[in-house]
Amino acid sequence: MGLGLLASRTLKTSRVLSSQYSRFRPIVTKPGLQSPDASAAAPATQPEPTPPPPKKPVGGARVHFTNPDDALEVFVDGFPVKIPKGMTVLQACEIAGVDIPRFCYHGRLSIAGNCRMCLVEVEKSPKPVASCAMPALPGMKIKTDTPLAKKAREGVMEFLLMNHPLDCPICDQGGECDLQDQSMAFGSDRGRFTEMKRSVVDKNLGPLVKTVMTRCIQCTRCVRFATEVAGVQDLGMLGRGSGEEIGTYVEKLMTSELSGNVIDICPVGALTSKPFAFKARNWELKGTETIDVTDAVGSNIRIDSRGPEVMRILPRLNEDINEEWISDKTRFCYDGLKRQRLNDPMIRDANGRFKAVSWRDALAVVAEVALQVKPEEIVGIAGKLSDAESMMALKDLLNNMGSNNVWCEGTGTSPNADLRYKYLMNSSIAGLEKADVFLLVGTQPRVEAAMVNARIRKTVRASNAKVAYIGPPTEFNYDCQHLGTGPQTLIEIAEGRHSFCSAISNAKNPAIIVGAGLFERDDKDAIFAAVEAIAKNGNVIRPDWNGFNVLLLNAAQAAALDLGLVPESSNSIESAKFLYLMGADDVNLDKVPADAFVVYQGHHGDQSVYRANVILPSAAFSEKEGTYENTEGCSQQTLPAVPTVGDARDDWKIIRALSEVAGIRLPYDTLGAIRSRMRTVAPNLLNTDEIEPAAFGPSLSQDCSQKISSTPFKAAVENFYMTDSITRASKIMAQCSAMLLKK
Amino acid sequence: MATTVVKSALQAIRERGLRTFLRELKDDGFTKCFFDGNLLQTKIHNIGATVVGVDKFGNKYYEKLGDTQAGRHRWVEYAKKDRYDASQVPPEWHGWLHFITDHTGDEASLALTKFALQNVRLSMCLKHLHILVLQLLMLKPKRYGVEHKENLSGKGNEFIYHSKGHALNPGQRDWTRYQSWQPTKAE
Amino acid sequence: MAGFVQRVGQSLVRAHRPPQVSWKRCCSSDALMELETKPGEVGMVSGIPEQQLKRRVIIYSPARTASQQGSGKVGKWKINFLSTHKWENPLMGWTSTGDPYANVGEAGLEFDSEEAAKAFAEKYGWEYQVKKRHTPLLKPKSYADNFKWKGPPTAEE
Repeated sequence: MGLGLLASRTLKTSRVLSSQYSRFRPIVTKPGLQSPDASAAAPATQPEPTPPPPKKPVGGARVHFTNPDDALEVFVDGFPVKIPKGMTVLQACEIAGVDIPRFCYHGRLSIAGNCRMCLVEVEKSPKPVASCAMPALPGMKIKTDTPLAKKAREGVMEFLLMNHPLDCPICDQGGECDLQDQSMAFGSDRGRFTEMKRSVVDKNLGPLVKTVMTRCIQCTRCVRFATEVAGVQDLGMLGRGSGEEIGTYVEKLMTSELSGNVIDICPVGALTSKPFAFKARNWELKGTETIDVTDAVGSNIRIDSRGPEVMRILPRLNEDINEEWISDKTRFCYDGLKRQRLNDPMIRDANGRFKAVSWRDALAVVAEVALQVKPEEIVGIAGKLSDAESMMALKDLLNNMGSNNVWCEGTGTSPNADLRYKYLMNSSIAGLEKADVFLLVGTQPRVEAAMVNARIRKTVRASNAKVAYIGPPTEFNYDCQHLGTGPQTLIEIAEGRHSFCSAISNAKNPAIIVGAGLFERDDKDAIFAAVEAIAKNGNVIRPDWNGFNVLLLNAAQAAALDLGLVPESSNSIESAKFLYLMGADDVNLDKVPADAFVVYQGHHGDQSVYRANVILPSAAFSEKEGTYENTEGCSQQTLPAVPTVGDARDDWKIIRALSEVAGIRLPYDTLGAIRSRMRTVAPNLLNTDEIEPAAFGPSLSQDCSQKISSTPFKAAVENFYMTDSITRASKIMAQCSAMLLKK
Repeated sequence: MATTVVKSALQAIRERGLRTFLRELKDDGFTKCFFDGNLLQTKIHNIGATVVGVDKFGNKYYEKLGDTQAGRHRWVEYAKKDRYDASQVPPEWHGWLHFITDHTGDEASLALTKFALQNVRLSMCLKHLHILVLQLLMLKPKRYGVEHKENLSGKGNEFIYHSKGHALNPGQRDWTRYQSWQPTKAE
Repeated sequence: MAGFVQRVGQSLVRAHRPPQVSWKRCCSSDALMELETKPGEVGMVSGIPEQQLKRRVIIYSPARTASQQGSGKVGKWKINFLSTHKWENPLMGWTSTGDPYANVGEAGLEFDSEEAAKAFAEKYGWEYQVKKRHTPLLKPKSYADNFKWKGPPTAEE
């Protein structure tokens, strides 16, 4: 009976059955597919076996050949492999698909060669060779699975475990520990150590990194990371022999904004995450690959969640944006997702207190007020963390109601979204590595976009690039010339009077990075005109290299400007009677008239909630699927990792529901539909993980006749740890800003 | 056996008077013996037995060595004569009662004398010995130990155990992993 | 139902068939035979509730765990069923879910290639989106870089 029902349902609903053979489609198979044995038996009479296919590089790595003619050939375990000149034996084995165990070697740090776990046998070599340091010579025959190599690994493992405490049950790294896995794979089954193990005093590195220095195996990865990538020489190795200790020598906290990355780097549980200590084991966590929205970089992260709760955030590899690092704010803001959450729609009653109501009532109230107000008195402001879908919906709704006063906070009073090159990082974050001169105008990359700063530091370190900075005095972790504090210096360089002009004109790939904090200034157009003059004089914008970069501050700015969230009048907020704040917490609400009806749609009760008349709870970035465009124009999508809190909904769905209640129904019901709508406006937002470069250059920009004022540039971000509603709600960020900010 | 009982009863009447004697009988549960055969058997068994100790609930622990049947030489007479329950025996006496150990539930007991006998240095003052035994018998964790409760199954929802999230748990815990927004005072 | 099947069989016999399709092949019960299926057909006959066949899924290749350097599990492709509808059970605080796909994709469903994952999703009729796989870029490193000349000394301020 059931089968017949199924069959009839199949026949009725399937459109594929409209073939010429009446109502039924015969299930056919091709002769080749019919019996795999028959097809395999036929060519089995081949004379010689085909050579095994070359193995793919470890982790699917791509190999960068600086000079394709200069490739060497080495033999790894009998397999020939072509490698670029200058690579080490370990890298050659990596290309050949053989993962050699290592503790101190890291692909992004300098080579130390002190753990000796990477020993392999090389023919015609008297002793095993440290593959991480040995350069691969042409014709070398490398053997990684011989008894000599295996014995070397067992020996190294034995020595490492000798002084290592038996902390696995209480160590946070258990389950994701390199030492555990490599001792299982390459170590021997028994140890011979019967003496007392040494122990080391724990160091206090701050509220983020928990140290149990007894577990340290002295690989010095953290020392090299702090020195090379983070640029702070806080950590060092003290002592010698078995008395070696990693520490700061003086009582110093790790104040670098990249300090959380040492947690990932440390192969053992010596440096672990303090907020995550003892909270979960890694096998109970479900990893969701999404994007970070606390700054405009869009670092790729993986949110590890257990059930309905986010437990920690780890970085994910993306060579073009954040490599393998994330800033501290990205890593530790997750506990803000659990505090001060809005979970029910609320309406402010006559006493001024908020009362939780149902969605039906809340939307009815909002729609009623919205329809009574005149179109030019309706204003919408999108927040820092808004995704492109919700901004599209907001703009559509407000436009359908007759108003065009919708903008994103942070884009200033009169944003210009006509030419994309004026608000994107045109050389792309990875492209900054090719630059050799940087001019930073009114931007402190260290606090605005820590990953961009890391990239600049990498360039400065690799190629001795020159960096000059115009703005308030700040600390840099690379050598930087402080040229001035205000627009005066900028005009000087534009007119060619400054000494730095020669550096720009002599540079092969000069890069100018302008901060988005300048959007808030009144003389923004004049400043940008001056910067463009510098760009023209220095040949910064060319077909093969575009060094004119704008470093945005928020995750939502680029998408907002791409979607055209440009207000009609710059001071519409003063005459607004209906204000729709979609997560906008950093907007100055002083100028809003006292009788304006304010709707706040967001996920945290941060600052703007207190002025709101109706609160509509929406989903945070970890709970929704949204498109975010980062400062270089690469569009990426977040995925939901945890369920929405309480009665909250997705942003664009709330606006769609509101439009239905208000009678101005928006034409999309599903995510696919709203994305098609976005495609008509800004199709680059749909090409995820791809950068759409700006199409037009400065030849189309209009001349500016504004006068530059002489107020010096001010810092756009005062407190690195508290920039948006999620980080302001986070206890860890509060601790960090109390302890780690440089006073 | 019967004569000793009658003799002690008459002596009690002579000393304390008939009314007090009858009240004592009632308090000791002898009036319930008619309806409760277990209690009657216990009372009969008590004749000739020594009281080893009394615990904080009032349960009396008896021992009758000699030619008593093995397995019946240690027993408890509960403080609650009508609604007694095996779970009313606190853990410190449980071991002794069930022949697991010879340590009784109170400090001044066999263990002390045994320890003293085994220890050759009898010259140590009694206070030291007492402290040592107290340390030996410090089996109750003070920091996280709760007082002994009898098994209250079936007695009603206020008495039985409910898990932390159960609606009938007086301090029912809210398991939501996030905290809702609480408007600060300056609103 | 038997009568229905008989009628289906008879109409099949009577229907006009191209010469290469023989009755024997139509009824072959060889387990190793691979069939050409149109998208969504396997899902329709699999008994999965229709509501679950309307899901959106994401096909991606999970990145290497940042806290370890081993790349053994890298290169597999997984299907993420976007199953986040979980809540705390009020009695014990455990995580409850009503989604049958809550751990499918996370637990055992792995594919060796992107095409295999896409074929699977197509077979069942789920609308899918493929995320680009990010791979590391190997640049030549050498131990001698530690000792290279790093440029003239910077002037101390």
